[in-house]
Amino acid sequence: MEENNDEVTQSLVATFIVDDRHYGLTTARVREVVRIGEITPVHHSPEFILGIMNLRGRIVTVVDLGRKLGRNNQALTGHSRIFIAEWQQEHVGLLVDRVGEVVPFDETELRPVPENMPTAQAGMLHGVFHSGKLLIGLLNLDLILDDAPGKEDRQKAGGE
Amino acid sequence: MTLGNDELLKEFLAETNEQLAGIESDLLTIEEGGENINEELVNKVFRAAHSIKGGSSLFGLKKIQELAHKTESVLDLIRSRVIRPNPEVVNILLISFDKLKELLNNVMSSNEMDISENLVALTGLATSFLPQNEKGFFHKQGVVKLPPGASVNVSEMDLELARKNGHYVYFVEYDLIKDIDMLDKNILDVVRLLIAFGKVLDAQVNTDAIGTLEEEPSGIIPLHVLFSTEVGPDEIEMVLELPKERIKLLASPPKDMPAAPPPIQIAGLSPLPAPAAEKPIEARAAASQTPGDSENDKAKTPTSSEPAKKSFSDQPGQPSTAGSVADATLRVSVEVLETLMNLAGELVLSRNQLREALSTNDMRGVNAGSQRVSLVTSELQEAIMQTRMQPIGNVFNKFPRVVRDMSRTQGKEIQLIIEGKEVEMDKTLIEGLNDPLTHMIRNSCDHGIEMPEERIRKGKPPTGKIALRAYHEAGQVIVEITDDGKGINPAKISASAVAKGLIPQEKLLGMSDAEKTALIFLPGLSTAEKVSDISGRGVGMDVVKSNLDRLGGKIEIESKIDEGTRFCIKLPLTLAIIPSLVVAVGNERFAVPQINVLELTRIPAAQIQNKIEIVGDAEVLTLRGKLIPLVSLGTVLGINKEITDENTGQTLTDRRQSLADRRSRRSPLEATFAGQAGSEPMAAKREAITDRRYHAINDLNIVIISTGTFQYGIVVDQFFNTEEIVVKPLGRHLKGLPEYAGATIMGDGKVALIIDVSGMATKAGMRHVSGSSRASALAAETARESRHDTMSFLLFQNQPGELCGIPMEMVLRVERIERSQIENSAGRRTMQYRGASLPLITLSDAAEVKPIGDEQKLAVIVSSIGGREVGLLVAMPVDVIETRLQIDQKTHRQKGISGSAIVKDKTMLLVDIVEIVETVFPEWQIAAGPEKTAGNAARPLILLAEDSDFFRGQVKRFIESEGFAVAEAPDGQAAWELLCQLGEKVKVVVTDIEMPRMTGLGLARAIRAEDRFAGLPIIGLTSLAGEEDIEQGKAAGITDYQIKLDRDRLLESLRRILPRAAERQIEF
Repeated sequence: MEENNDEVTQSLVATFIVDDRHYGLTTARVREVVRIGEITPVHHSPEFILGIMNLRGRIVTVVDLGRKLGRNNQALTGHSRIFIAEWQQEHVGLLVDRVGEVVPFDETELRPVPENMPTAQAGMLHGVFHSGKLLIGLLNLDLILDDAPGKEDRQKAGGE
Repeated sequence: MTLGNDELLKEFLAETNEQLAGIESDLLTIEEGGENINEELVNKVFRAAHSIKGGSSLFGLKKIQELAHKTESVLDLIRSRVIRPNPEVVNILLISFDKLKELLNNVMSSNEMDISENLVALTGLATSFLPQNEKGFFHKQGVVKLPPGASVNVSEMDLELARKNGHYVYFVEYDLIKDIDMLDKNILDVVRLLIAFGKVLDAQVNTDAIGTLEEEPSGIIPLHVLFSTEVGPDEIEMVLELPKERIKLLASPPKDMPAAPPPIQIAGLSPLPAPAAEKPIEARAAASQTPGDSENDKAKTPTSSEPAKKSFSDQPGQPSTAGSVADATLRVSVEVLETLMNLAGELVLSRNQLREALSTNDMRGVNAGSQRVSLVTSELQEAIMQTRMQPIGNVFNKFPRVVRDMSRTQGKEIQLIIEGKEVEMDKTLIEGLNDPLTHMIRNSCDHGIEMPEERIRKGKPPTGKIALRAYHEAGQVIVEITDDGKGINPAKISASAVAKGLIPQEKLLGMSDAEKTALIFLPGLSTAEKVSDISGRGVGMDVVKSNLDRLGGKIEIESKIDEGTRFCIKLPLTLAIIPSLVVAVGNERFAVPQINVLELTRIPAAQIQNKIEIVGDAEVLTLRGKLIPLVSLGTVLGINKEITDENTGQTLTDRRQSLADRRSRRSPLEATFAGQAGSEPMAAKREAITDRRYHAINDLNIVIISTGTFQYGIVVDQFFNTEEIVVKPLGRHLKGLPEYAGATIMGDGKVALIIDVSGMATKAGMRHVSGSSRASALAAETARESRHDTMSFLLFQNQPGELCGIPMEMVLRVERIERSQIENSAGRRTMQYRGASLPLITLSDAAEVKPIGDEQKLAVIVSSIGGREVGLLVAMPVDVIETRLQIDQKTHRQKGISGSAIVKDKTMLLVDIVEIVETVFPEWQIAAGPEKTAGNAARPLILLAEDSDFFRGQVKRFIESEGFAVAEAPDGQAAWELLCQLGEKVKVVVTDIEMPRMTGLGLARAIRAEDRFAGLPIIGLTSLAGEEDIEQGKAAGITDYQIKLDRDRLLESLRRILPRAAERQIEF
């Protein structure tokens, strides 16, 4: 998909912190970063979905990136932000704990995901790269937002 | 490459899609016309094929171009009456257009698709009709000399035809850069210009001329067009706005034949396996040079031909969705666009005004500004909605083809009547209607209409009729599908439902035919393969129903065995903005579409235990005798309701397990457990858990929902207003949740979910079957109610406590008078009334009742009998009731009293004012009916069909009193039999509408279906005639409508009709 084309050469990566780890998304897929407004929960939705929000008249699904990356719920803080990403012709919000810098990224610097990373996380990364001293995991948006996840997520909320 | 331009391709696709939309029906009309060729239509289809050909060549869509070209040729032969458009020919054309659509839907891969079959068929068609000596024409290519580098194809036939039509053929060269791009023109404009003046035989972009990367850029992209037009060589430059040297005359109308064939170099053969097919040949003349494009030299290198072609077919950068581009675009009239622009401007101005006012703290300005914004907004909304409106014909147009194909494969004769194509609806609705309608039309063809032999056996015309109608009614769009086929057999449907275990046998007993028919909407009824044997109809009707539910539509069926079936679909005009009820659970708000909301009920906490009952694990509400299953929105969605404890101020989780769970027991452990908010309710701890269940705040708010098939109640915490909400789609991750129909943004900017009532019911574990049987029970109730006519009565008392009633239809006015106003003269009571003397009567004048008392205040019921006004003196007070009555005609029958009925637990005497008048003023009636004395034979016979004995008796009496003879029948069927027996003796039929066995409408249709009763007047009697009913009646053949018991009007109508009836007698 397009994602693969993004990092052909030098590009920019927007970084952020989730669960004290640094991750990044290529800026080509990020439209904007917004503060957390009113988020309406959607009951029976997959667990990693925080709810829906109003982005200037558009309904945007907000994904809890932390949950997707395998940690438990964490309370929202004043630093929490939502990255609005473009995915399959719709806008999707990604909840992050804190916004980082936008860093340059050279495709040649991309290293494979470390072997000891849990598969759940490893499956969502293109790879990792160094920016200064920081090791950043470059997220693969299409894998994160894959809308045909394991059924258990979806069943859980509704199946009581 | 410039031509790979997305926008242009999209525009081309959108345009072709539009052109192709109507093709099917046009072709079918052409087929119908047979020999009588409708040139205009053929031309229209021809033009479509033609512009597809032209456009596709621009984009290098070879296969499309080729197929369009062949199709065009055949159409041309039809136009010139060489080929007769018989069904086979039209079939081939239809299939070709189908293929074209398929190719156009997959533009990017179209060049790889196989179209040989279609080409063979088309070529075969064209050649088989051509005279022997002309056959070669179709294949021969390139009889004209083409300029060098010209990459156009030309078949001899095209040239010949053009010349025969008096056309000149030109070779035109446009330069896409200089002539089009730099002048800010659009290539489609050029094509449109060309098409306006003539015919594009072929068009190609000469990619060879562009050269390769290594070479110097030529700065020119030539577009070569072979153009046939009536425009002569003198004017052509002007028309095309091109310098002379770019236009070359190739052929003129006869006299001026071109010389010997030029040398032709066969450059590339299309991969056609069939020998009969035309082989398009790239005519590349390599001879002399055209002045003015010396750069073209490079093009002559033969090697560049192949790669150039490749670059055409591999248009880069197309999104994979290119095929559906056309569906994603919408044509909007410039006018609407202008309006939108204006409004947008207004909006900006209003915003500035607001901002200004806010900055200066000018409250009046803010008010004015916000008022203006609100005004502009609603206008904007309206204008935008307008852009979404599409004619329903977009869907209807495909059905002639469906019906035609179905009838051909099944050997049936079916005529499809379409009305109301122009009715406009929201785009999404139109799209959503497509599948259900197709399904239903197919069903009608498949299971509804019988084979011709069977129809003849049943006495119907061999050709079956299916009518598809759309019209507006009360802010809704009604789509009707009517067929005159075998109808739905309720017995078979219900038997099948029982056999499948969908409903228990014993339920059938209480079901009417209409309810049994409605069982076809039950999911699971029609999944069996052999359904057509069992039910005769209804493959997947549940799917149709659920599709329509999703659109907010309703569907009703009306069916008569062997008479036909009528489906009536009611749809809202738009889905994008819907009125919705906003409710809340906890602090979450939800919108429930108003169309699904039947009513709102609040049950005070104190009554909950009485009103809500528990059966098994189900909670039901008894509402006016109906059992409504209840679901709690909070429970279904798993919302933890938070309640603030009044004593401790702590926020707690509501732990009620059922709605009726309201014990007021208090546990000493309360304080301990009160803090444990958030845990799931646990049965073991339940008794120990704190109870707030009896508090007044726990009144139950219930929204009674109708899904169309059944009803249920949703328990919510709060109701808010009904608002017009804008429906927004949910993201992909949430699309799969059936309980939500979308989301909307509320006034405060927050998002609320819109509840899908059917999805929510499923989620709540409601079984539709039990629900729909309840719904059908309701339907039965309503049906039963409507069978007894509602009537209004004026109630009065003759003596205190002696309740009397008179049908409202008999009453002109009611006047209050003083006793002193009554004048007694010549033994008759009268009063001054509107400048005349009004005769007064009392009930006691005729009936054996006590005379009215001596009260001073009296009422006079003014009524018109036999054209004269008369007043009935009664005691006060008078009252009006509207009720359905069981009238007892025996117990209290006497002169002046036609029967009795129970009203409000009292016996009401039905006063027959006509009889009283007859008794008091016998001389009035003698004047009214001179024929009365004549023998029965001379009196015109009127057939009266009415199921209620009371009404029949009444109507019969006053018709007879008018001097007519009456034959009575207790229902439509009996009336029909009687009519068949009596034949022409019957002069007028007077019939009730709602009757068992055969309704008045059925009777009217039966009468209209027989020639011998043509012209027989039918008067329909109703208790309440709405516009709709009257329309329906008129459609069924009812001549006139009269209100039951409106004696004078009915008699007037009879008198008006009878002279006509008399003429009819002469005719026979």
